[in-house]
Order: sequence, then C-alpha cells, then structure tokens
Amino acid sequence: MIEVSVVDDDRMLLDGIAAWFSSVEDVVLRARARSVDELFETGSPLAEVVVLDLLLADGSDPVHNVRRLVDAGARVLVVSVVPHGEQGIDVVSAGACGYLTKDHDLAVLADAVRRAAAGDNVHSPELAFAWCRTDRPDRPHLSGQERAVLLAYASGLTLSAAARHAGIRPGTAKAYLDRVKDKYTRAGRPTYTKLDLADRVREDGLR
Amino acid sequence: MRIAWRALIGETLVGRDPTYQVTRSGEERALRFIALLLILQRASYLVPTVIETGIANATYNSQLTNAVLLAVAVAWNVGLAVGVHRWGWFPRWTVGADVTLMCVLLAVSSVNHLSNEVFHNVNWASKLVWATAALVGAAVAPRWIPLVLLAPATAHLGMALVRFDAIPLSLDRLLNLLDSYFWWALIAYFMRRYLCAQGRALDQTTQRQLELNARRAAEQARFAERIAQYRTLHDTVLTTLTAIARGGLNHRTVEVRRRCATEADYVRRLIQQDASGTFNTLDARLSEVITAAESLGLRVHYLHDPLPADLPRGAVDGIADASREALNNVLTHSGTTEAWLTATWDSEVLLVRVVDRGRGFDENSVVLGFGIRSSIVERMHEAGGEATLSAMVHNGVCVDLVWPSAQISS
Repeated sequence: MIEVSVVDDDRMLLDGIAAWFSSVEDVVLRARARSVDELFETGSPLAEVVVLDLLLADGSDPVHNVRRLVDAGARVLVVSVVPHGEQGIDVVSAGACGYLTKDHDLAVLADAVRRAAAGDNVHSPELAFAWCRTDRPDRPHLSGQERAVLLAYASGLTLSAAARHAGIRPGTAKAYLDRVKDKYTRAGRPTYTKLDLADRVREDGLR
Repeated sequence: MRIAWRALIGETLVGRDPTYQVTRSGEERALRFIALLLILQRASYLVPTVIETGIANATYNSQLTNAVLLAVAVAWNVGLAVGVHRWGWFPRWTVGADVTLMCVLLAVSSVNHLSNEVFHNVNWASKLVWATAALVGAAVAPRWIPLVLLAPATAHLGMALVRFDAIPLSLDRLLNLLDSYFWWALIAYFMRRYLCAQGRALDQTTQRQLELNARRAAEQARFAERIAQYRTLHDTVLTTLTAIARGGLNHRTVEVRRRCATEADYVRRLIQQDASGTFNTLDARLSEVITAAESLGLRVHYLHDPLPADLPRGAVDGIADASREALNNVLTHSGTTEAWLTATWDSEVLLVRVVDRGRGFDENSVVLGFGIRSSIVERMHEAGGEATLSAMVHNGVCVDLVWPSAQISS
C-alpha cells in the first residue's frame, strides 16, 4: 500500500482528491494540508509520496517547499492547474520526481504516484515540453536525439511512438528522458559555497 | 531630355497625381525633389544653349567642336537624369564624373571661345559649372566642398592663363566668379539639410502614428476577443457552476464531470494565452479549433511556443483547417476521446502536431483516405506547407503540419 500526503490550498480540491484516492486500491491518503508548514505541524511521519500543489496561497517558494519535503525523506510529485514550464523545471531540478498538470485523469495521477513510490522518474508531456523549449541561459546541452525524444513525448506521443519517431527503441527513449532529467537536476544544484562546489565535484565523480 | 523630363518629373508637376511617390520615405522624397531641382537647373542652362547653337553662333573658333562638346554635355546630363530617377539620388561616382567632365568642358570650351570673355555667360560651360557647384554642395560632405570646387575653378582659370598668359579678370570679377560657385554650393547644401531633416521628422511622426494605429487596432481586436471569451465563459463555465451551486444537479455524473473537464481546459487555455502575451491570429484560430473539437466530446491538451503574429492569412487558415480535420479524425477513428495539439516555432519554421494515443493503424497496410489527402495534405500544400502522418498499431496517430514547406524555406 502506498501512503500519500496531499498539500493543496483549495479545500474543495483536497476533498475531491481524497475521494479520488479512496477508489484506488493500492493508494491510501495519509494526510492532507493546505501548506507545507501545516503538513509538518501535524507531527506525524511523512507519507512516502507527497503530492504538492505548485503555487500555494501562503506565497511560499515552490522550490523551497520541494527541498524541505525531499530533505525530510519524501518523494515529491508537483502538480499545478495550468502548465508553468519554467517553475516545473525548477521544482524537478530541486528534487521533485515529477511535475504534471491537474487536468490528467485519475489513472494517470495514480500511475504517477506508483512510479514516484517506486523511486522512478515521473515523466509528463508538460515537463518534457518545458525541458525542450526553455531558453534559460543555464540550460544543459541536449543532444539531437534527446531533443527529438523530448519533443515527441511532449507532443503527447506514447513512449513507444516517441521512440519510433526518433528511430530508437522504447527502452532507450525512457533512458533519454531520465538522462535529460538528470542533466537538469545537475544544472539546478545550488553551489552557493566552496563546500557546495566540492560536493558537486564529488557527486559527479561518483557517477 | 524629354524622356529624362518625364522620367524624373512624372506626374508631379502636372498635378494629376498629388500622392506621387507618397509610399517612399520622407527623406527619399526630399532627395528626389532636390535631384529634380538640380537637373532642372542644368536644363535651364543647356536648353537655351542648344537652341542658340542651332540658330547661329559665331562666338566659337570651331562650331563643330562646340557642337560636340554640347552633345557630350547633353548626353551626360540626360543619362544623369535617367540614372538619378532610377537610383533616387546621385551616387558618389556621378559627382566625381560630373566634376571631371566639367573641368574638361570648361578647358576645351574656353580654348575654343573666340573672345577673351571666356568667363562670361556667353561661354555656356561657365554657366553649367554653377550646376556642378550646386550638385557638389548637395551631395558632398561640407568639409570637402571647397576642395572639390577648386578643381573646376583651377581648370577654368588655368586654361585662361595658358591661353592669354594672364587671367583676363579684375579682382572683383574674379571674386564674383568664385562667389557664384560658393553660393550655389551653399544654397544646395542648406536645401538638402533642411528638406532631409523635415523628411526624417515626417517619417518619425508617421511611424509613431502607425504604431499608435496598430496598438489601437490590437486593443480593439483584444477587446473583441475578450467579449467573445466572456460570452463563451457565460455560456459554459458560469452556467455550469450556477447550476451546481443552485443544487439539484448531481455533479458526480459522468456527463457533468466531462463537461466540467472540457470547460476547465477552456479556462486553462485562456490563462496560458494571457500569460504568454501571444494574442495573435494563429493562436486564436487554434483555440477556436480546439473549442470546436471539445464541443464534440474530445479533450485536447494544448501546449505551444509564443507563436508568430505575422503569418500570412492563407497559412493561418490552412493550418487551422488542417488541425480541425486532424482532430476530427481523432474523434472519428482513434477510439479515444483525448488528443494533444502542440505548436512550436523554431528557426522560422512552424510545426503543429496533432497526436492521439488511440488504436492507430499499420502504415504499410492502410491507404490514406480522401479526408486526410484532401483536407490535410493538399490543404497544407496549398497554404505553402506540408503535412505528414505517422501511425503505430495501438500507439495512436501523429499528424505533423509544417509551415513553410522544406522546399520553400530552403
């Protein structure tokens, strides 16, 4: 059974998602809160997966929210009402395992939760689109095939169809998506101090 | 000369077309006007001379030499008039050529003259050099004007010195001669400076007015779009929410949830469109197409780059109509009620991709139907783009609409 906590500032949506997950056999809702602070204030251990609304009414920084939850040992899945590509990149670079919009149906969300719980990356067309279309100066270099797979997947193609579009095998396409996420995560790691820099060098050396 | 006259003046002086050349910039029109005056000045010296030469003229040693010199001067000036009509102004080389030619004409004509009145108006070349002085004043940088004018003055005085062993001019007449060069150059210089400045100021004012008009038109279009959006919001989201709020409507039924999802997608698109600030025809047309598809029961996920606002109308229509047909095909053939529409703009190439994850088909065994060939492929071809279709069994269909086509863009 996968335990999930949901953080969203809309009470109606919290109620709806609770009703939603009650119909999924292998997922149980452990806690719901309207902010990350409120979730921590409950004092109970965090669920293994936290579904976090990107923009909360308390005005908290989405990246900071993700880091707090990840540091506390949770796998974080970020959701938003409309696609916010750049912020989606930021939260995934900060450690969230995926970012998707709320317009997906229950089956997609439940599958995302299962992947997150299994420690897998959660890919979504909206995040793939943001990755391949961003023009931020610190974006990592992507190979031609990585970009082709990203754009194909962002366009709504299944992983198999995206792989065929790029002329590769489905398993390789998934590996490409994981590699792009890894590149962005590495590009998004903070290096505020020399110790951070040394950590990054050590991490890269261990890979 | 007549051809040059008509070519240069056109309809301007006869007043039949007061908007003659109104589409050109103010500075260009100012230059053309100054060029016209400079050519007319030359004509005012040459035409009477030609007439006088034709009647009788006993002031030159050799009438033939004079006629040849005059023919050269006329030919050069007619050529100059035609060239300036084509170029809009005097290229630098024409100024150099004109000064050189005037030096030669002055020298030969002065030698050919019977009397010692080589500086007098009866020596037509000494009048024509005023036109050269005016041209130099109008076309040469101010600091170079005295130096350039020194050439014809030197040729004129030098040849007189060679012929008469002295310059047959009193000091005051010599000053008058140089003075006339100077004033013609000065008048032309200030005429160009003032008229061109006025032309540029007029251009800037016109540009500001055009920008203002464009902004007003965009605001009006945006306002009209807003009104249309409010109407749609009233007829959809507001009506649905009001019905649920009143009670009595079971919002958990599949029909109500499907309608809510469709209307949420519509609001989502509005927010995306507003956030990206990319209100333009293609974006608006694709949104219309998606709204129409959603009214038939299809859910469409729409992701897009900021799209260009200046695509040709035919291209926008072709892409929007082909997208509509592609979404209709998803509804009709895919066996799903979900589609993705993605629009990207890369290196001046637009890609609109319509995708479903439905039953798909085997590309090798299925012949494309009339709808796809006619309504998508041929339509895109007519719009200057191209369409390709790929499919996999159980992995849906992908329709790529590319504009412009690779042949055109290359």
